[in-house]
Amino acid sequence: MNNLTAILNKYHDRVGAFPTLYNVVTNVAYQTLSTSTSVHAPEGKAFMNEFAKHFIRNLHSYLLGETIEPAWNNYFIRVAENRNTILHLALSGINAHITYDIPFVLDNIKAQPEFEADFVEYTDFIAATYPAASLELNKQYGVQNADNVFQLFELGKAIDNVKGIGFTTHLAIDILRTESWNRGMNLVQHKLSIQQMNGICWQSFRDREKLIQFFDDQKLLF
Amino acid sequence: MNHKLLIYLSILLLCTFCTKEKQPSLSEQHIQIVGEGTTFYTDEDYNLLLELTDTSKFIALLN
Repeated sequence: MNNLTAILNKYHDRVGAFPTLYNVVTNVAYQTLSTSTSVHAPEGKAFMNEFAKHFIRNLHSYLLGETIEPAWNNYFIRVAENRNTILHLALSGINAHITYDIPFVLDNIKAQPEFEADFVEYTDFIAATYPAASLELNKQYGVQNADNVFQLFELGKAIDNVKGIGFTTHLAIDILRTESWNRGMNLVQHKLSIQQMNGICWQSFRDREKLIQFFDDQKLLF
Repeated sequence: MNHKLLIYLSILLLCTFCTKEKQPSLSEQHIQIVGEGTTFYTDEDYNLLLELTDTSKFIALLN
């Protein structure tokens, strides 16, 4: 991821919006999981590897002009159209990764219910790295408002003042990951088919894209 | 005067025919989702990106 991101950043390539943020997350994940003593550590590593692969293989397809999964196709179209800000692209990438990829990653690694506590810990990386990710987006692309957006604007800041810095970001991540975990379990336990889950995830993904577009229209994603 | 003009025109025609048509880069040839915001890479970087994103040769981020 480091080498990949470095090339994209060298060109100030809009494709690099999400990997720039994701690279910060994977670096922390690498440090944490390398020293993990959890009995579920192998499952955790498989989860993080499979998670990364979803974006990487879609980027590969983009480079070759091959078929891209719908949520990532949306990302690359937004990159090309040049109508959305870098922060918008980063959020669309997070949306694709959390809303669309997670349930299928959990199915890929055949996650068991006992893995949930570790899954919560690993997805906490995402929430915990938001200040560093904001800094990196600022350094590479001049993004200025990432920190505020990740804290969900002023309301989130107000809650953070009472509950502690980062509380709102963790809460938002917690809601999203719980939903994705439940969806993943539905796939693993064959309660829903892949086709059904594609439909469900795609609808949620599109709803959230509309919300991101609303923030972009309000000129908040700069 | 006409003689000079003829020389200029001849040089211009010669240059036009001799200019080798620029070959599109590999990224220009392959990337299909293209627009104002698309970045094209040098062939060297494009090949490196392809190599780094080839999940069939993927070295796990975490072992």
